[in-house]
Amino acid sequence: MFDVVLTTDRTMMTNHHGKEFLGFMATGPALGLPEPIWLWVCAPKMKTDDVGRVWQAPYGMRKVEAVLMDAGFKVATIDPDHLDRHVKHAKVLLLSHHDYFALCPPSSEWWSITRKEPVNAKSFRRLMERPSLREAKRRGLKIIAGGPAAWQWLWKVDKWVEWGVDTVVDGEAEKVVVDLVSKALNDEPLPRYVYVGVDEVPKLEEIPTIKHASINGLIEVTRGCPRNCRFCSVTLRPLRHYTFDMIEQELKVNVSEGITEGIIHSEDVLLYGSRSVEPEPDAVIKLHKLVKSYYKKISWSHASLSAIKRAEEKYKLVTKVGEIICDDNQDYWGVEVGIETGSVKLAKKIMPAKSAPYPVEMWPQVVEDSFAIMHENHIIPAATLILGLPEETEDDVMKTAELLDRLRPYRSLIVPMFFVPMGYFKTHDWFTRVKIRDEHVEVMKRCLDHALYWANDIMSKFYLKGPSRAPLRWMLRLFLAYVKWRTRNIDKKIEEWKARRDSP
Amino acid sequence: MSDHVELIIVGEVTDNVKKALFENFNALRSKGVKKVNLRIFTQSAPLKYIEELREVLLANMITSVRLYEHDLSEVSGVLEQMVRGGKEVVVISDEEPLRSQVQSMLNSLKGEKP
Repeated sequence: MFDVVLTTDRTMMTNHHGKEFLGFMATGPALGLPEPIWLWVCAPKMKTDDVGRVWQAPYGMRKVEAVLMDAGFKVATIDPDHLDRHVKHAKVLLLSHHDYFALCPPSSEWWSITRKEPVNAKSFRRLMERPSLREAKRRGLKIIAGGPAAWQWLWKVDKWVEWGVDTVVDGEAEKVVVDLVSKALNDEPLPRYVYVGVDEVPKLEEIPTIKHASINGLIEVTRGCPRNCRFCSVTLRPLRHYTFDMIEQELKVNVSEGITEGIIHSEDVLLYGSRSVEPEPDAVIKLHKLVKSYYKKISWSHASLSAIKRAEEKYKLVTKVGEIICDDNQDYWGVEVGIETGSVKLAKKIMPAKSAPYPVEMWPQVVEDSFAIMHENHIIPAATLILGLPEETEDDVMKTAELLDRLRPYRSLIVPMFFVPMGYFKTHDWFTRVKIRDEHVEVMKRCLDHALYWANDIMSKFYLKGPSRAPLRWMLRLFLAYVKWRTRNIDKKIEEWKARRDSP
Repeated sequence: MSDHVELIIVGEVTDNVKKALFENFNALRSKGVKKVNLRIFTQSAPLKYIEELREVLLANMITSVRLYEHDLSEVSGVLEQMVRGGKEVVVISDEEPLRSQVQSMLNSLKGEKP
C-alpha cells in the first residue's frame, strides 16, 4: 500500500487513443453523442497493473512522483477507477489538472456557448464527490492540489472548502513538494496556499527525470520561453534546456514501458538549445535524431510561427527535421501554434517579441508564411486565436478575420479562445462575463468553416487513417456530420442569438 | 533585511488590509525578500478571506508565498515562536484595539519598550 497517492480524473488520466488532439473534446460537453460514448472517444480508460498503477500518467505528475520516489516516500500514481481501495490507507492524495473547473479556454467557451458544463469539470467533480474520498477525508487524508490549473482554486473557494483540499500549490513543484508531503505525513500544519516564486523554481540539475511512462510518451526538452508575451505565465519562468542525457533517460523509461510514439514538449521546439529567438540548427537536429532513434512516431507540443519561418528560411531546418521525422512509420506530424491575433496594433501591445527576429509589423505575414511552410512539410498545426484581449478593438478582430481568409489554403485547425488572464494580465477579472461581440462571432464562424473544410482531409489522410482507427474515425465522422447538420442554418441562428443577447 | 518575512494579518481582510498588503509585497520585493509567510488570524469561516486576497496573490509573480490560516486565539503562541526563531514580523490589521494589542505583544516579546 502507498502512503502517497497521485491521481486525477479520467479526462486527464487517459492517452486519448494515442491521439493527443482528441483530448480537446474533453474540454466540451457531450454534443450529439451520449456522454459515455463521448468520453470513450476522447478519454478512454488507461491500462493499469494489478494494484491500479497507471501505465501512462500526465508528465507533470510523473515529475512529482519522481521527486517523491527519490526522497524515499511510498508513492504511486493510481488510476481514478482504482482510487477507492488506495484512499482507505493513503495519508496524502496529490491532485493535478489542466482545467479543474473548466475555466480555461476552450472549456469556458464551450460552456458559454452551449450552456452545458464541459465533461472535464464534470468528471473532476465526480472524482472529488465519490464517497470513498469523503470517508478518507473524515479519517484525516490530506489533499494537495497542484498542476497548471492550480490558480483556479482561488476562484472556487467554495469547492476548496467543500472538498477538503488542504493545500493548493501554484508553480513548479519539484522543490516544495517533499516538504509539504513530509508535513502532511507528520500531521504538521500545512499552508493553505503555496506560490512557487523565482527562488524556488528548480534549476536544471534539480529537475528529476521521470521514473515511469508519460502520457503519449511526452518528454519535456525545455522549460520557460524568452518571448515575454503579456498574456502568458510560462514566460515568467527562467529558460532551461534539458541536456541530451536527461532527454535520453526519459526516452529510455518510456520505451522500456512499451511506449513507441511520443511528443517533444517545449514552448518552442525549434528554439531548443537557443538562448535567444534564433534557432540553433545543430541542437535541433541532434534532438530529433535522438528522439527518433527511440520513437517510431514523434510530434511537437508547441512551436512559434516566427521560429518556423526563421528556421526554414535561414537554415532549411524544417525540411531537415522533416527528413528525420518522416519515414515508413509516419508521414506527417502535429504541433500547436499560437496566432493569437491578426492585428499588428494589438500584437505590438501584448506580444511585441512573438514575431522576433522579424519585426512585429510583419506578424500577419509571418503567420501566413509559416502556415505555408508547415503545409508543404506535412506539419498539421492546431492553431489558437485569442479573442477579447484587453484593449482589443473591432478593427483588431476584423484584422484577425481577414488573416483567417488568407490561411484557408493551408491544412490546419484554428481554434478561437476567449482571453483568460494569465501572466501580467492575471489579475484581470474575466468572470463578470465574456462579452461576445458581433466581430467575435464572425471570427468564430470563419474558424468553424475552416475546420469543417479541413477536418475530413486531416482525419482520413493523416490523423486516423488505417483500418485499426476505423471505429474512431467513424465516430468522429458522425460527430462532424452532426456539427454540419446543426450549423446548416448558422446565420439564422446567429441572428437569433444576437437578438437574445441584445434584449434587455 | 532577511530574505524571508512573516506577514501577519489579524482580523478581517478589509480594503485597507488589502492595500497594506499590496504595499508590503512591493516594498519587500524591492528590498530583496524572496519568501513571505502570510499568516491569517481570523475567526471567520475557513478560506473566506481568499476572495479578498485573490487579487494580491495573483498579482505576485516573483515572491514565494506560503499562506497559513490560524484561529485568532493562536496569535500569542505563533508570535512567540517567530520571535524565538528570529523571524522578521510585520503586523497588518484594520481592527483596533486588536492591531495595537498584537503590535505591543510583539514588541514585548522582542524586549522592546511599548
